[in-house]
Amino acid sequence: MIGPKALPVTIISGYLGAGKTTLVNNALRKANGLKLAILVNEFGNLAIDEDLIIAQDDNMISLAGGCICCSYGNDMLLSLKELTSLDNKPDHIILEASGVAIPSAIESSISLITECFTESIVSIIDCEQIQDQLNDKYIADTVISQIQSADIILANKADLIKSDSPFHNWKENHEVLNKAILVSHSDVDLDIFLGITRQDWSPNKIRKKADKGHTNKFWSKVFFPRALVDPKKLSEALTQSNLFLVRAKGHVSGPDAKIYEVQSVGHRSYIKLANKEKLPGLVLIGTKEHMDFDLLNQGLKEFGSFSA
Amino acid sequence: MFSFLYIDGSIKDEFKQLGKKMITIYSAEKIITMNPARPFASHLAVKEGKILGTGDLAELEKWGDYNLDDSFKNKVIMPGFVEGHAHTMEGTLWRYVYCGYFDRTDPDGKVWSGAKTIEEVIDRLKKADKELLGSDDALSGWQLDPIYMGNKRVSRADLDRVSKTRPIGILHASGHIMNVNSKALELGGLMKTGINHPGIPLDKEGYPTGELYGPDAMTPVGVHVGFNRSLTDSDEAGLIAFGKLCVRTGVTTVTDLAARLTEDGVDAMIKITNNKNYPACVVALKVFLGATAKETVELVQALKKKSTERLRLGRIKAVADGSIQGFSARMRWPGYHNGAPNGLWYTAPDQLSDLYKLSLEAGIQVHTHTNGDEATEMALDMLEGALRKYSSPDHRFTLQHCQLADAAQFRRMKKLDMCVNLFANHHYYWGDEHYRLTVGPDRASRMNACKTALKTKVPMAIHSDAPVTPLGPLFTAWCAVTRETASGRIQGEEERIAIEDAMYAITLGAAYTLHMDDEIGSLETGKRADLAILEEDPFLVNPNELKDIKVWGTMQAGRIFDASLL
Repeated sequence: MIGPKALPVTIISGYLGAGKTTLVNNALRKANGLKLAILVNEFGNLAIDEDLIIAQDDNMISLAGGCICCSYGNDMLLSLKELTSLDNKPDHIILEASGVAIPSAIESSISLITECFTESIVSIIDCEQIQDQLNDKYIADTVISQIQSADIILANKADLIKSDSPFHNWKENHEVLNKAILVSHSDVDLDIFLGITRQDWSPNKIRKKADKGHTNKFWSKVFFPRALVDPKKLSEALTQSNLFLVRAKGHVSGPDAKIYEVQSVGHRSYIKLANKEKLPGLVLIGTKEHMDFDLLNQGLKEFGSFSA
Repeated sequence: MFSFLYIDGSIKDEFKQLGKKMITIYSAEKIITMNPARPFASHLAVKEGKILGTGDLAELEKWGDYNLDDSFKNKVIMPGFVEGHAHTMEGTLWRYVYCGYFDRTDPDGKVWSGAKTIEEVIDRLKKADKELLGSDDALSGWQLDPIYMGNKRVSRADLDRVSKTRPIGILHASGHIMNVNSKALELGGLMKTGINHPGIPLDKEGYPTGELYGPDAMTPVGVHVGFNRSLTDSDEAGLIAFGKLCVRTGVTTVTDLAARLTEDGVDAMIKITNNKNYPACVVALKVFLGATAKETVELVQALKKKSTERLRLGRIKAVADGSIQGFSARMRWPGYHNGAPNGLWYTAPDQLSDLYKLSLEAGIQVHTHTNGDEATEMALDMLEGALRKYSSPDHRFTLQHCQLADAAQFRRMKKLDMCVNLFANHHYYWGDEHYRLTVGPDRASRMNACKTALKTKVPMAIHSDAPVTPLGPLFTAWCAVTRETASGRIQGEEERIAIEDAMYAITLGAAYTLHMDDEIGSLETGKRADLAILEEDPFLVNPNELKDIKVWGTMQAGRIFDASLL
């Protein structure tokens, strides 16, 4: 279980040129009041769009909307700790890993401190380059481990790939890439990328949000858990790979009658005690490409249903 | 500008006096110049910190008035040694408790006997514990190497016997592992169950054993036991101590091969080395880390202009992979002998390629750490590609360590005009481990292939990587000449080199890799008066005794440093 005050860290992984920095810039533009802290290995590569920058010193760039950006140099954990002890504490940390970093190793390190937890690993690949990279004698194994440890794989620059390109066939034949989400210009909804980060949960609001739907790529639905559901078991059920859920988040009333927040992303799930009284209900997000409602009902039926 | 001399006769006399003092001729039992045109001499003339000439007294007298100095008449003089791969942090480490297995001399000349058992290490720490003032001050040690203690693991319980109230941390010789006590784990927030980290082994009860592997696991605790993140930066006192080690080992030019070179750090280094008694010229390379290639090259171009007589800036150090004994070096097929998975890239191939291109274009030299043979191959590929675009005459890009390179890779280095600096000392300290565990007998025999480098005519230096192994070019030369390992085996006898080749490697060879062979490395007219002053002739001793030759001290830019007076 995650401590109540631990800050979520999303690790962005991917080889050079995949689109990590654009993904960060997009997140900053879409933050909409969410205070993001961006932690990068090196400032020079960050190239934050200038109109987002308010002030800059050696160690920190202040950005529009209360967001900040820092470089971590050779001590990532210390930088993370420093971020969590800021007066104006961020809501969410995005850690942009170096091009050859293995994200699971970063996750292991983050697990050593209680101030943060790894919310998810998002790996981004370049559709145009990935086939060459997986044949490259130097970096293939590095890129593979970046993909393998990902909860969400973004297959970027999809617009540069023609519909009859062998890429599509190739992607289908690589099991690990099957769940990859095709995107262009690193453009992906913040609910997908960082999780459903808004704090104001009520069945009406989540239903409204879910009904609003997502882009034509995603579906989202509200799931109503039964009373006194084991939050851990539910969170693990949400990660079944045949359900192809991208993310899920919401609240359940546990066997101890306490309210738990439940989240899942890819094969990762976590629970924590809700800090406020909440009504049970979860938002589930998946890709339309892989939607199978029967399988979903089947896979989650012991925990509740899609109608109240 | 000297017009005043004609006004005041006394000043004129003084100038004459000064003029007299300006040339000093030193006699010696033998002077080995490493200058092929005149390899040996009996006398050496020094003026303004430079070598005026070598020869016999009659020849040198012709320069004019001189002082004859016979203090070295029973000594053997060589060009001051050049250490092409060291880190000045060794000076800083000596303020911690020495826990190494081998005898080692500290900056003040005290020989610390090796601690042969874990009990000896504990006793040494207990003694240091009593000398510390505050009850919660950190106690730090360094150079522990349980490999030589029957590979027995050290646990936090062992260190808890020294103290339960103060944090204790002991850095291993490899620099990749640290042992800590329970208090240190507690301060680092790791004294708990439920940790799931490959670098933190757990005991039966689920608590960390106290061994921490790799920087990620070491950092949270390291800051509480004196090993913080700027450990590789030597502070002022550390740099002064390091200078003393140079004198004791005959070194007059030394590299600080992976410095962060922050603005404050550079200012401090300039201040210390500018001191008129600082005995060595420090060549500091900026490490390529945490900044883009473009930023790094621009920074180093600016730093280059800050160079002084005794602090040389303007070179870059890149790190391609990790270490072989840490299983983080990148290996080609068939990989590690024990089946460990391949290591890690510390720098992406494309980043290294960018760095090479921009540096070639700017005329900045890059030294690249490669340990595994795949890392060497990658660096060669990236440089070959970069050279096609930006040819740069006499670039002398150097592979550092380059421990596992095979003959074909040396041939490519030659084709690409590269230099190599091989880690001869490593072969002695960890050769047995490589034979037994990491790479197996065949490849262990070709590690640090000095003979192949020479046969292929790749300009070569050999190094200590101090503090990983002790600074001492004569010891390094002995390692390359004998290829003996710590257990006394000769490993890879085909790769042994002759004494004269080893002596070249620690003088002109290393100077060449730094683009300084026009200035140091041999005793020739116009070069800096840098001398290693020895008690015996390295060319005449039994090769096995090379490492035991006593160093009297050095001369650096004409200034004499007696090791016994430091």
